[in-house]
Amino acid sequence: MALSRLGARTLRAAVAAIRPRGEGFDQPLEDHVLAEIAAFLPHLPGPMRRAFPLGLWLLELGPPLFVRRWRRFSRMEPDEAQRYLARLQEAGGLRGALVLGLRALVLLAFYQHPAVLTTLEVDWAGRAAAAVARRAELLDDRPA
Amino acid sequence: MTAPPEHGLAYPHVTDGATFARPATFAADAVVVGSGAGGATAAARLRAAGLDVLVVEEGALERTETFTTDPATMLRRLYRDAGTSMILGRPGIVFAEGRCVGGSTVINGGMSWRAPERVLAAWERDLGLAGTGPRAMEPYFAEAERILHVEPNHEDTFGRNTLKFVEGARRLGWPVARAPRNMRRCVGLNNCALGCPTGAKQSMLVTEIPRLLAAGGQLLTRARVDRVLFRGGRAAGVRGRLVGPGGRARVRFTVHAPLVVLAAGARHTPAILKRSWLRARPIGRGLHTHPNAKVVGIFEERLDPWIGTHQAFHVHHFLDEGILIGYAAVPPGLLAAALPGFGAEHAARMRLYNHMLTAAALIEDEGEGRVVLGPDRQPYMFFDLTGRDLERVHRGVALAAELLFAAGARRVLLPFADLPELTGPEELRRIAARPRVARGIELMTVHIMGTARMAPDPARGATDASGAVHGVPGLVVADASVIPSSIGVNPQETIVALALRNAERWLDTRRG
Repeated sequence: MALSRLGARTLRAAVAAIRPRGEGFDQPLEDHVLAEIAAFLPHLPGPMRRAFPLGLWLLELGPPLFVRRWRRFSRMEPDEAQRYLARLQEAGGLRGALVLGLRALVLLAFYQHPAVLTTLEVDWAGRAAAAVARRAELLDDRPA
Repeated sequence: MTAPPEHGLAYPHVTDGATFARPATFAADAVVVGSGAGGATAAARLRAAGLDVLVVEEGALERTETFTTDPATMLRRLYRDAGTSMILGRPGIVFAEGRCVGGSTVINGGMSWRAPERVLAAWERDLGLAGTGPRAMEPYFAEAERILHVEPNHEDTFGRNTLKFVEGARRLGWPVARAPRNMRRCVGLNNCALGCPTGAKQSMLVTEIPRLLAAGGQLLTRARVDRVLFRGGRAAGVRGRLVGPGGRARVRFTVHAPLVVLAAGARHTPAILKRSWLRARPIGRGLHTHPNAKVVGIFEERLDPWIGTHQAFHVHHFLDEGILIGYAAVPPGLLAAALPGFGAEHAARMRLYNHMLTAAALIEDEGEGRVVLGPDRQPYMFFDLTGRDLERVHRGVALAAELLFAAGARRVLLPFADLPELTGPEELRRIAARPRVARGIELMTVHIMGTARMAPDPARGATDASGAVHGVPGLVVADASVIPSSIGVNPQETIVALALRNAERWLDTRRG
């Protein structure tokens, strides 16, 4: 699903605003997150998929309307962009749903990256390999 | 043995709908739409009775040995809409269901509870559904437990989060129930919701579907049913579209069969009925959602919640109030979306991931929603919490938070946008003081039911006491749609038991 240049710029700005920072979470993963979101979009329900570009357009051009700031979203500093997103989320309705959806996509892609999982000290994949072998052993040991 | 037996399962007689370039036609004695708990069970029973059975599944055959722990990948492969469906209403509820061979049994937590006796007794006594009371259902639950291989978790799989959960409940004097789960020697990987790579979870993918296929049943994958076909007032088959790997509809397919079993889930089964121009008012009504609210405790010590089994215990102490309390390990990427904040604020919370215990309050809902067809002919779900449901949500969240504080949590994160965090048990009263408004409550569910419910009176339910659609010979339902009321527990085993019970009745009818 290809986004317009405006849509792509807005999405990149949203990723920059939402992505975690500090606490060891400063990995440069913006491109990874954007690629994961692109892979996810075709799987969204039809109405959501069709509304997504419109939602990005609303996000980009919404500051004058929703927070009385005469600046496009993609030109905001990250702190200001975060405050703007928080206001939209609190407003609920379609605006809130858009921010919640974007947050979910960005955070899923970010926190499941192997480098971030290492920072979190979570090795679910490593345990999976061991668990498969362990279960095979245990079943082998069972009396027939 | 170097690999578990589920890795080497044979799946003969499977046709991949994505490989067809031209319209295709099939014929069978019975066509079963959906391969989840109800569909696979019914199909296996019908095949065992000698019928030529074709199961039609919209998702793909995803083999156990290919499952991974990456949520983004597995959500796309195993879930409808990659797990992003919503039930619209006050509040909106996130809804997830499986779309793969085995259906939601591949992505559920493996909880195998019987519907409570008080619920079954009410079906028989109050709803007039003869043969659904506790005594009559007993042999079907026993058979369901044999098929699903239900056993409690081994103690060597308990993680620190399990021990904390039990500790919290015991300090409060609440008895804990050892959760029966459909598994064969689970080793506690805790990847249930993304498909079990070890094969321990005995989903339909590794039980009834291989048995059905070995017995000569047929399976058509990546085939989306649009509607039922009729001839002379009887069901005569189904029609739909074969879909490509991306889920896009491609060429048309038709199945001719004198018995049509709908088991596409409580959202899509009523949609198929409605698209088939069946106009009975109860179709799609009576939606129950069994919503759950997450409550996250943050502890001083490390819990490593990703190590150890999934939900070895539940608190059923409040089941008569319509509240079940459980816990789960949620992968970081999925839990992150449920925690508030952006940027550095969010990072500071997630840094404590290994110190978190995620509890959940599941609510037996009184409200009834609807499934309606949209202009695109797809099903949309609508559901509002009633005042009593809202009260239960608040009570359930308060109880879960109380348990977490009793277990030693320093802070507790709540599913309320306007009350996101408590810093000690003395703040629990803030939950009681919260206005009972739906706005700002974050809920999700994987347990919808009741949208083609059984009722002797056609005005009160789409199906009769055997799950047969009123007034349409040859058309029956075998999924959570037929469940006539909210049952308050995970519905998998009840769906299997009802499918076993009802399949006997369809076969009796067929024999005349």
